[in-house]
Amino acid sequence: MQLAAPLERLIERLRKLPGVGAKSAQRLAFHILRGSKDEAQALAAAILDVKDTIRLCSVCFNITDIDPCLVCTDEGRDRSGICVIEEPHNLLAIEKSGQFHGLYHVLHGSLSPLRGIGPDDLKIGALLERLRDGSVKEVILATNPNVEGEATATYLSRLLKPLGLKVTRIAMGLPIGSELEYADEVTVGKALEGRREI
Amino acid sequence: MPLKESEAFVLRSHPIGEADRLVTFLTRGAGKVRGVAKGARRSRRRFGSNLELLSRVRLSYFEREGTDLARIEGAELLESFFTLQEDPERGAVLACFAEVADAFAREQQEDEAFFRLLHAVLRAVREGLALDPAARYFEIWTLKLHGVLPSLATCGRCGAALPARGAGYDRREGAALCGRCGRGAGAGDLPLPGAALAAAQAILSQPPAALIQAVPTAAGLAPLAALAATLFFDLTERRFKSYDVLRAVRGRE
Ligand SMILES: [Zn+2]
Ligand SMILES: [Zn+2]
Repeated sequence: MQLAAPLERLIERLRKLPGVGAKSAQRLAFHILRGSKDEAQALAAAILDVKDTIRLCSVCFNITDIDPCLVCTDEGRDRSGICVIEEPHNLLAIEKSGQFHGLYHVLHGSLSPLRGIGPDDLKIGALLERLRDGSVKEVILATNPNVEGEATATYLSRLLKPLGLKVTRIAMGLPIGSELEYADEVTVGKALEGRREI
Repeated sequence: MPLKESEAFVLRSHPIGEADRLVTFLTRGAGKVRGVAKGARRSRRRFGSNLELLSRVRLSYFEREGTDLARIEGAELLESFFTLQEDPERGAVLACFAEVADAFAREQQEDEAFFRLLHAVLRAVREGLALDPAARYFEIWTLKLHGVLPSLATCGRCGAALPARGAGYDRREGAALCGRCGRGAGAGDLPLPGAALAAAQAILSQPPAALIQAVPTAAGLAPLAALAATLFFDLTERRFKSYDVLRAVRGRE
């Protein structure tokens, strides 16, 4: 079936979004078409707004529309602890756990030799700058539990420990809901490494 | 198409789409194999840490009609080099191995000696081989196994044994030359002092683990690093990113 060209264009655009297949793109496009003009305008404006107003927090490099970001300016947060993460979306996962009430620092990547990403490509200098005044007592390294994330954590701990800080690494190991017999030896090894007294 | 099986190292693994990974392997029996591991990002149960860099796995895959991308069925972990890479410098050296192996291995072309070289060097690193001799061992043998290492024992022009006091690599000629044949001062030419020729002989005549005890001198290894870098560039016409990151990581520590 031949669709009108503007509709075809919208479907093509929507298909480029992650997780949107041909069918869903078509459904979304027809939904927009059926909706009011106000709805469509609001959607278009929201998309442009994100591009126009969102930037990186100059303190923690989280994505934000006001600088410094809401986390950095929140008086209720514990300023003695910084949790270091690879990407802005990692912040949501940690916030949802409800277990951390300090500040964040987003590296925007991890050491990845094969992709040519070295220490100077990450927000490491700015992290050291934040630690200068001595108010931060603990840095939690919450980089991903893969080869790059581990190497990044080791690299950072070697930089930070001489500053007299408490440097911790999130425990890794078995995902909740998994079974021991299905876990590989690296995962089991990491789980043993991170064991604690109960 | 029948299910194929081979022992393999993971040379590269990167996310595609929401749930999958595109993985490059160096297999023991079929050279380089590239394929898609469906669901490898979501389901930890199926692949776990098995697709991390340089994992040695029992790979099973289907070749697919009309594409050189295989469908990865399984990758059972045989040996992990994960914890070795937690050290950033060692991790960067191992990434250099993976990047070089990816550049020299050919798809569908058996290269068992290359597979065994990678395995032997990784094992030696685990057993305590220092990073510089390990890297030089891997580079020199990679060049040798692929027929592109110039002789480091005899002059490439007159055939005489290279003198113990040293020689020079002539980049235009692609050969190590003795003092009488080589001017050794052209653009891109490299000095190969006696210590470097001795280190090359030590590398070419023994398994890598032997260098744990009898470590070649730094004065011998450094010119070999320069030689390998020059040859890699002249052969592949590209720079390997891992070497730049290795330098950056070392600069800070
Ligand atoms: Zn902030
Ligand atoms: Zn000669």
